[in-house]
Amino acid sequence: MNEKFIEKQLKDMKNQIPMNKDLKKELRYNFSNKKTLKWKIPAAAVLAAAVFLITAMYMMQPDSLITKVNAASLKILSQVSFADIEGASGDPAEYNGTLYILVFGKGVYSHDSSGFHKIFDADASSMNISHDGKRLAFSDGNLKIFDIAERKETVLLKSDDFTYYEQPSWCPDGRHIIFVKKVIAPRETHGFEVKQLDIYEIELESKKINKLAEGSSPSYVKNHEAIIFEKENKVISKNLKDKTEKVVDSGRFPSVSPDGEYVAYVKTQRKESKISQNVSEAENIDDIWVSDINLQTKKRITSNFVNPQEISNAETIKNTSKLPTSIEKNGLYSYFNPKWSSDSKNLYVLKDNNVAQNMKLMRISFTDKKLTAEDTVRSFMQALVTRDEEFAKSLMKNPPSIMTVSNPHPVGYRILGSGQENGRDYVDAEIYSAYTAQPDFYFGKERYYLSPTPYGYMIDEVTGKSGGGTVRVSKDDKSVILQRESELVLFNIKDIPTDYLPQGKYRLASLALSEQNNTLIFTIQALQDASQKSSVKVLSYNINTSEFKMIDDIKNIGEKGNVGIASLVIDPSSNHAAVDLFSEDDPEFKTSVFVYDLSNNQKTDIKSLLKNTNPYAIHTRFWDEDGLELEIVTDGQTMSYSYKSASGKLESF
Amino acid sequence: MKNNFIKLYDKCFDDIYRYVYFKTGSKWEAEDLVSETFRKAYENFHLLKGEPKPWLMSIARNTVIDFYRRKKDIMPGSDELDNYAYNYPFDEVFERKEELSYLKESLNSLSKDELEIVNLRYFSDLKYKQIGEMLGKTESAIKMKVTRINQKLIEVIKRRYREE
Repeated sequence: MNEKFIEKQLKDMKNQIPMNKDLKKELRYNFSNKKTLKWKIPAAAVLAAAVFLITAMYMMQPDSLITKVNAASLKILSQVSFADIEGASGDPAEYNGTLYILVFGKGVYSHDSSGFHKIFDADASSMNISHDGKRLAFSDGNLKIFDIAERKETVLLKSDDFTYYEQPSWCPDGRHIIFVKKVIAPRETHGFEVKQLDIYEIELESKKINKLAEGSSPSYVKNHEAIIFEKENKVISKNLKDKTEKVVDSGRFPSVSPDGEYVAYVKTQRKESKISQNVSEAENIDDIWVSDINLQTKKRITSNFVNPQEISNAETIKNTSKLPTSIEKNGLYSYFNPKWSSDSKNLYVLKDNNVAQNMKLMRISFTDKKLTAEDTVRSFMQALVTRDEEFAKSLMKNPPSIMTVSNPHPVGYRILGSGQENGRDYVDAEIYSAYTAQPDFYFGKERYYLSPTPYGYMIDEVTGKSGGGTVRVSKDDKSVILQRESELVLFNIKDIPTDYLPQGKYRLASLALSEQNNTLIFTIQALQDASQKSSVKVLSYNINTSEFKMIDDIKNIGEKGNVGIASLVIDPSSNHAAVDLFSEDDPEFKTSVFVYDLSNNQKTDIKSLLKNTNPYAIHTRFWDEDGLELEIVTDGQTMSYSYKSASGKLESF
Repeated sequence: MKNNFIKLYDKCFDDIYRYVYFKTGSKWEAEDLVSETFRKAYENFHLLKGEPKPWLMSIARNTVIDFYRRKKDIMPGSDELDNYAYNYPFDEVFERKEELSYLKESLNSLSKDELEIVNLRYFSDLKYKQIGEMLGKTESAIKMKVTRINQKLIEVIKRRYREE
């Protein structure tokens, strides 16, 4: 074997990379035949960071919150993946609306309406907040406390080469912390093994420590009534008075709610079956479960399913295997470290997508109220807009194999109403789609038929309704047309006042139609050439009066010129528009979002609303009722925010 | 201008597609990013000076980097490609054929930098000089690097044979 041989082999390998001939043809056709190009543009890139779902746009009314129902009666109001954590993260901790997030190797961050920023450096692996929200206990091998107001760190227990103190959890009395003492020992050959995994508590004042059990992931139940912990893949409850232990369920990472009513944990369910003469298969699916602390009832609260990639691998093996084979299939998601909010009404969970290989922080909000068919359709729409295909599919009875495409992609929706037809529940909705950076806007009306389930509603069927259409540039590039059943020329490009047009080359870019106001909001992208730099003009056109209005002429973002536009979204009531912008002069590709109040053209730069946060990228996601959902990338993390147009303020999740 | 662009498109599409596909390991992402590459190339075609293929390949490379930056907030100038590109099992992008399986496996032993050079040289068919221009290195440095990569692959494959 020599270098020539390897070179030949590598060149042969090239031909094993499949070519997408259809894409090649399609794009070529666009270049050769059309001036107005229809692009497949990475909407995912423009919308940035991998998909994540927001469904909690409607706030819970206090009276709808759960007080004391058993676990089996809990209903999930929303399931929101709102933070994309770089690499991996340890325990989340929440107190009164502020979320603390531990980012491995970086430190502890706080996330609230003022932004997302680091509060202290720590190379920590686990963390827990005291019940009064004033102190964080964390472990970096040592057991430490961080006083949030005083910004002061105290070491409680110091590790050595073989002993570590981990997984601290506060007692509601604020005077004790329960934790795991891990003792490791070197193996004879290489590496280490865990010799001891014991649960201790420490009395903060006296520093006295006391062994309570063997296991891990401990937490207190109502001060010193009992403790819950994990041992050998079982969740165990131990009464601290009579020292009796009871198995709650099989599972990992148990966490007791601050009100002492529930325990949440991750449970893997295994299902084995024989699928052909030679082949057997086993499914291992992780889900989050919640049990009553008194063990009366329990309930599964996530709906994980088999990773589709593993299904296709299994199919291949099933059809080809001549030898006895066992196939192991895993869930699409793995879950870690569920932690309760301080009011015991939300659960924060780390969710690892085994296909996309990214870790997200998800919030599950509970209610004891019955969820409506509209709630389900709203969740479904938001999953489509955010390209959370898997979550969208989990709401459908018979999901198609592919649901979301690059372009045109959904940019917004509106629930139009609901009712019953021949005894079936339905919800009518309008969904808006657009091409990234291109003058194409679609609106379609759909009827969703649903049936009730113990967990809410499932979508049985979706049918198109009349009344949809498109706004786009005509084939000859001369006019903007509205196509419903027939074509209507909205305006000719030569009709745009010359004052509003760039001097040099330009093209129409993103646009959106407001049917209620009979207004088209559109943008003109000036292209860089010898005479000009790139810039973006935002205009409106009133269909009734044929009047054009300049909303903004964006030549710079901050001090950077050469501005380009990626997308434009308007709110369902058409009072506000938001644009995603970038500057080609910015070597860091930072992106910005401007929001316009269309009644007075007043502009808000979203960046200006963030304090203590230097965002690297800001992107619009979609416009919900009165809030513009945004994602903000900062310090390696992608976080969700909602801009409330009525108050002009940002809200965190 | 349009005819020249179409000529370049016809000549380079396959190489650009394979380059992006091997870099991302995803058919969907490749489809998006290749389209984005040609859109940018079309709009900036009048700015092209010098050799078209390395220019186009650089746009593709930057488009992929930009995609990962936006996705993961990687700061420019850092070793962002080391972290994100080529981050999947290589078997997925190749047709399922038994032949060359040792070589496919041996790609796993290469660093991200080395994979980038293999991709540009063998899957995207660029000359040493063109790769050098793209990566800011001399032609001879690239040549030497390619030789070392090939030797490394030979060693890995030999080891595998011995193990069996």
